[in-house]
Amino acid sequence: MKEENTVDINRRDFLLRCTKAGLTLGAAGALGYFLYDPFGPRTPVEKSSLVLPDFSVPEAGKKIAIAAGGDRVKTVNAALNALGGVQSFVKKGDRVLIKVNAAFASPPSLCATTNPELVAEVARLCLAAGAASVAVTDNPINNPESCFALSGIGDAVKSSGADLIMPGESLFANVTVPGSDLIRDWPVFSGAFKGITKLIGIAPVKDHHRSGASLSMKNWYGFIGGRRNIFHQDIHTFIKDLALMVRPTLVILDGTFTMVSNGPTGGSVSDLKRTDTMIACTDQVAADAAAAVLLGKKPSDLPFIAKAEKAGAGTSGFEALSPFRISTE
Amino acid sequence: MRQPGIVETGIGIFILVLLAGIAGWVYLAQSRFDPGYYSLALKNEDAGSGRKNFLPSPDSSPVPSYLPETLVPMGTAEEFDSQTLSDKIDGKAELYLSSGFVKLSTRRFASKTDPKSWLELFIYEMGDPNNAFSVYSTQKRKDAVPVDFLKTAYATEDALFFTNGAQYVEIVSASRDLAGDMASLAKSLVETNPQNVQPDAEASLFPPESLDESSVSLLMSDVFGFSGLDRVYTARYGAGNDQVTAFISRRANPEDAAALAAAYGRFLLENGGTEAGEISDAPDSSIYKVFDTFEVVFHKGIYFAGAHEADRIETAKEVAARIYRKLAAIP
Repeated sequence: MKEENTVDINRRDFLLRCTKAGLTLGAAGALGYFLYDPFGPRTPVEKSSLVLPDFSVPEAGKKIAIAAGGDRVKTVNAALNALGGVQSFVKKGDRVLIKVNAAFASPPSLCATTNPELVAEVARLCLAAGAASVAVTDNPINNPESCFALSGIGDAVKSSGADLIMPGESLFANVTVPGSDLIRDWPVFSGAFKGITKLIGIAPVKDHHRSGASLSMKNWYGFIGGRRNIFHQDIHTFIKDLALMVRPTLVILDGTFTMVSNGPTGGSVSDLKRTDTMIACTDQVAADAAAAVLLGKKPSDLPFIAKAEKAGAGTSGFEALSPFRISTE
Repeated sequence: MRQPGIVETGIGIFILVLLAGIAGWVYLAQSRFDPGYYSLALKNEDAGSGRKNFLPSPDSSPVPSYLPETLVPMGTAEEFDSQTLSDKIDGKAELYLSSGFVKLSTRRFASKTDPKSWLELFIYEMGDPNNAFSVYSTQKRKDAVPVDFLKTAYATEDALFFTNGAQYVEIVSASRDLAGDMASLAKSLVETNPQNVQPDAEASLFPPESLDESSVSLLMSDVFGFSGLDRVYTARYGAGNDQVTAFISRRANPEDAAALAAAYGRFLLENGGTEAGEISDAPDSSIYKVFDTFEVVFHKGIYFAGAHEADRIETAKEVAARIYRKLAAIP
């Protein structure tokens, strides 16, 4: 052993070192105790490979219709007729699910929820086209009963002959969306899809404080369960994930009035702007891109559109789909 | 004291590298956070039936003392805290949470003569009159009509909004024939719980000439896209195509105000701005051209102020100079 390695320690140094080592160990132990989570994951995580069906109609192709006018019944009929009529999408015996935005227990005048007259008309058209059943659903932010009652959607569903599916706990199952960043083993309102063969989304065009806009892709948020508000932290990625999760037959965006400020709840008709537009489209990304202008934005102002397009959920270049533009006035 | 040997040094380095590796692994693991794995409790909570905001029903709970005789309760009162606020207002919760939100109380009331006509009362406890003014002013509707019984109050066709001390209050009606009931309810709320606290004095520092008084707002964070800029009062000057937004923010001391002006100037330069002179007689001012608009920035005493996104440099300079003179006159 070399001379410099010779043990050269007195009693004082030894005690000092022992004290330092003791303090270090104590501090590490205390830190570990402070950070210790005595519960951990509550139960073993249930891994799920459940994937929602693809409801798109390939033979219908990618189409978009933009109808102008202030009467929702007229504009939605005009837009759907331009796409070949509801019968192009809904065949005899189909079981149709209509996903509305009934997020809030607020009156229809605020346009924070899907307009009840529009819901009733689309349900009626589907039944007239031979659908075996039409069901309307959402998993609202507020209490479901109050949302469907105060938004007027509940009565509209009843009057049109459709059924209302209320979100109950037994209807949720954990879903993992392939290619998704955030929807992994998360509860999804999958029970609403039981036996369903066609899916139509109907949403109002709204400003949104977090995402910039609430349109057709954001509308699928209502299929998510649990404490879904945590996804607001990465809202654009989450909307992209929603677009990967849901492949609809058709989406309808109601821009008769656009909520241009204080969304998504609004709070006054002063937050609305009359834009007299109804969009029907088989490509949800294209629909949202076309609706951006109603909010005074470009598709590039809404990052979730580019993310969804990049993920393969659709195209933001709606003009390339040669939109059918119809006026009902 | 002896020198450590090669073996000891090697072991020491190995342990340090190992610790660094563990720290790196922890960093990477947390950056790939999988809410689906770690948030099982969150997932299972409230899958569809546990939400508040119940269906309105006949209500046997006491009638609140502030309720005008023309209205009757349409359901029980509900409360939301910072954890549950988004259960009521979804994505707009962030606006309140970033402005000091404490609690939201809501309740619906119906017209005694026409039960189908109803309104909903939202009382946001914001903890501080300035926080309340901030959420009030940033959501102010363009067609707002002033209400006579409060300075910070306005009505629209179907709603009424005001602040009362640290409270921000919204009354939203489902029909357009409840204007009188909304006003009665608002007056009663203020009389039952009078608050004479006024927001900060910065709002009164905007020179009155050509000022749109209804435009005064308080922005709490990330003002003008700059993360270092908070608590800024803004106001609109001019009319038509010749409008400019002026701003004033009181800082802790003159050094902070100067540092903020410098930092904001650097932010503008880093984001496509170029220097475009200064205001004469205002030695602490700078003008920046940011794409097609002009920005005037200065500090005077404890105030950081200027003009934002003006289309014309003359308008920006003129408004900023008036604010500078007003701030310079403060003893």
